[in-house]
Amino acid sequence: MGKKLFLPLSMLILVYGFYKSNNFQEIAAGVAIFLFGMLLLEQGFKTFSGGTLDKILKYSTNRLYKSLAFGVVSTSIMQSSSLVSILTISFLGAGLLTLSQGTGVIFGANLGTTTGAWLVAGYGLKINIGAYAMPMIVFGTLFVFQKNNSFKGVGYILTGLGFLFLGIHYMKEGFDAFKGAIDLSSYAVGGYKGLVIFTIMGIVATVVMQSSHATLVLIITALSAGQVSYENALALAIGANVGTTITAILGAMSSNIEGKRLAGAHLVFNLVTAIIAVVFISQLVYFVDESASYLGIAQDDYTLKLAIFHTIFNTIGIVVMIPMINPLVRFLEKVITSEVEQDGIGHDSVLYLNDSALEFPQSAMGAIIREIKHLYDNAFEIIAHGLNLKRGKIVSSMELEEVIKHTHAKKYIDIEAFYEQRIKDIYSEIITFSTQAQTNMSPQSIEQLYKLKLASRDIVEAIKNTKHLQKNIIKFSAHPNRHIQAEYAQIKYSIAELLRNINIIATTDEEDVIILLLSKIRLNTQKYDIIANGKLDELIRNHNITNQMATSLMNDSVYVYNIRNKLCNMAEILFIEANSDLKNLHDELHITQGEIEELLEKKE
Amino acid sequence: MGAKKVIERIANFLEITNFTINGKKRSLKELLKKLKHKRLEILRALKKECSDEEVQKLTDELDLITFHIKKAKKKLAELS
Repeated sequence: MGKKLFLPLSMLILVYGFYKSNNFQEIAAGVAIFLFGMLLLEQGFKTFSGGTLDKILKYSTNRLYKSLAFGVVSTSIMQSSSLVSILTISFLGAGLLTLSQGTGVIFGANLGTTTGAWLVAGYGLKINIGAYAMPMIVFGTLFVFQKNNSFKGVGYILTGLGFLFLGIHYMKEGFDAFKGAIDLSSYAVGGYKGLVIFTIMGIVATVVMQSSHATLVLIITALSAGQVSYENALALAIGANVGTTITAILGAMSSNIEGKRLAGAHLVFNLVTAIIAVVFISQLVYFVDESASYLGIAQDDYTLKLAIFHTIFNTIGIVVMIPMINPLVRFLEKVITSEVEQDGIGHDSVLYLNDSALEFPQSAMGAIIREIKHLYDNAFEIIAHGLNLKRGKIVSSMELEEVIKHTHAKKYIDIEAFYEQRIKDIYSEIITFSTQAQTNMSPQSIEQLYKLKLASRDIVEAIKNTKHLQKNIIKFSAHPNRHIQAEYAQIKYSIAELLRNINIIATTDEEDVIILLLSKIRLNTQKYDIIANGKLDELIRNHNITNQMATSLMNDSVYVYNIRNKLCNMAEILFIEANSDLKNLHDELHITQGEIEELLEKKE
Repeated sequence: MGAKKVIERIANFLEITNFTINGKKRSLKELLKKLKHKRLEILRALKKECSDEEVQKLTDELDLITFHIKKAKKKLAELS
């Protein structure tokens, strides 16, 4: 209801304002142009960075100080904490960042956003930036129409900056002209009452404009025109800081649980900072005056003093909150939890694929890789339990001969039902998400994406083959004929060995172990092939099994062969391709079909 | 001048054009070292008393390692 009323109500207020005052129209247009400029600037950095920004984020957030520095520097350069927030939520959603790292980036972005106040107060109001705006918009638009992506990105950035300047210019002009008609400063409210009222006004203004940067520029231009008192401007700045969290919360709505937790951390940071600022306002004002004197800023230069205030209270927030990051993360993990649907099997859905992860190619790719690993994890469970093997025993150091003796349950699981509940949705989401993600990707990434889609298909096909295999495993595992029983025990052994080896490949960093295990899987696939190794002929010749049993064994050996091949292909794509060094080594040393046959022949 | 040409000229100036090949050689050498070490471990294990089944497993592993050592050496020779 509130959401539905918001737009018509805002429009009504604006229309009334335009009717009443031309100057109000100029200020509102200034804000609108400024916001449009920010949109273009964000678009420009997204296009221009061509994945650079997300690569930097990926590698520069492994330490808290690095996360903070990334937040400060990137926000200072791009002048948009929203873009940094979206990027962080996107990476968090894709599982490429931890909540602590993301929180560090967001805290840094809060400090980085204060540079905007310095730029506007220091240069924006002291020089005629409107004069720079026009050529920037003209040249920027010229670049935007170029085919080359880098030119396009530069074009968006130039046009965005041009519009930002133009917006500031209009706001400034509007407030100056407004002063002649109405003196808004006569509405100034002093004391704590004024502090609370104007803090709330700052929150509302930022929620409406969805940008603390725009609110701050509006405050600074109003302050420079004398339309708002210095004390009230400080309160508005505090409010703007709290209001900006609404943007982050809205951004997190389409994200997964981690994104929501990050928005929670952002809210806590800004609320704590605001409370500190409100409680210690007199001390802060004194500290700002002292700092201004120290920096040689005139005592009546209120716009620059506002910039000092903004920086100081955000710095205090960081100093106070840094030791609290880990407890805060623990608190958020406890409070914000995902709803898990519980039924007999336990329905599972995607963990990493969400709209926020789609924002950047790197985060989209990371999300897909993690989701396929998640898919494989479920497949591991289904294949192991489908053959009545215990997962824990497979990944342990227990001898495989012993592992196959431990049954998972009295009854074999229904693979089809498990497939429906734990695979089907995730698989189809991976395919849909990959199709959406590839629109922003380079040709190399599209090729990698194609391979990843093949890997998910391999996982699904391995499960389907296990389903076919299960019938005879149930039938012959406890069969009185010891020969057929032994053959099916060997099948179980072979699959358990495969799952164990893939688990080692997935968890180790040792290249030699990975390369040897992959070769071993390929070699054993051939070695265990009962048709190729002559074992089936021997069993038939010696009348150890019936013809019916032989047919079953022959069909099932194909299923085993498929499972081994599919999962080996999947492991190569999922665990090797993503690591370029390992991929190079694997390309050079992987075992070919000819070499496998040669090795097996030599043995015979 | 395109960005690729600039990078090419800088790489030529810094004499790092063989960067990829050198990187490959380095990783192959490191891998060879590890494989040889593994081979020695298996040979030592084979000298100890063990069951036929264990001997079979170790021999299989030894064959695979020997195969990869040969292949890595061949690749290294090709790269040199």
